[in-house]
Amino acid sequence: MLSTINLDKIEKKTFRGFSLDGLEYIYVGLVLTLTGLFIYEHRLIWGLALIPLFYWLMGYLRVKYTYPRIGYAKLPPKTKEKLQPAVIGTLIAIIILLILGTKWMAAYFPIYLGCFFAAISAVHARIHGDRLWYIFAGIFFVSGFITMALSSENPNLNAAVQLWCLAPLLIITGLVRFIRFLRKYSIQSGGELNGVEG
Amino acid sequence: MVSKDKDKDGLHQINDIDRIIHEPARLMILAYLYVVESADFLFLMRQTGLTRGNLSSHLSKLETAEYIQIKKEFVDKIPRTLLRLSKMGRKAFQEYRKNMKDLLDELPK
Repeated sequence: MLSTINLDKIEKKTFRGFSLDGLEYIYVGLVLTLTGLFIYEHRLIWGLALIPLFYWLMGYLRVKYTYPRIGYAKLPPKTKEKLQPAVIGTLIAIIILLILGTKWMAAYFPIYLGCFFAAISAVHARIHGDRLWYIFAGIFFVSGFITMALSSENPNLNAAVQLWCLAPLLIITGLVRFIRFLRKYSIQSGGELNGVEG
Repeated sequence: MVSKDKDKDGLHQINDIDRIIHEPARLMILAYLYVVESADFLFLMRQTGLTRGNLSSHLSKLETAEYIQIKKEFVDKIPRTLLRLSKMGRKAFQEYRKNMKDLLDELPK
């Protein structure tokens, strides 16, 4: 009892709980699929408009399946500040890309893409305490080099294939987690949700 | 009998520990509410591992002490109890943590 409380651990445990449903893995897999489509064929830019729709769908599925099983908690603004490094990192990555130009991009884009997604995954794992994202960070990192080794002459196709190979890994992982989650946690009855009396 | 003119230092600080917070179940509840903006009853029940009745009882005590705010609402026609730390509760928890840390530092090694 007489021990200091590690609030960082409690915070990570809290948000790790919500990643148990696997929905964010499915979401990221779908995002990678759409991004790959856009990279391969820029005319399919309309596909990127589906990304917010998928995000909304993830929220809807959480309300329907996740929260009735493990409850609901609202993320505090302070935790959102921790995401700022990831946002800033993304902006820096885009700026570097623009500076280096299309010639470099054509030669090394898969490696760049792999490193970029690896960094995002590692940051996400660090903030939310879900160690599986560290494993995916490693997979993303390696995927760039594998793509370079197996590449065709079309750089856009290289990058698209890289993402299309990664997407199913994420989607399947998410689906497996989702099914296990549904089996492990039952929906609580109405009385459980409304606990405090008086 | 403890001398009343002693400064409140060392182990005498134990007497000043907030007993509302210094109960393991309530300490756990407040710790989880401290790291989120708000949470529902089911979330706390899952995270703390307390039974429904036990959790309800502790939440009532915390509400009486004005450390938490309880709001009941309906989500898709299902009643939901939403809980959050009050300003007073947040401050009390921070002070409790500080006092406990100071107290532990005072303990002989």
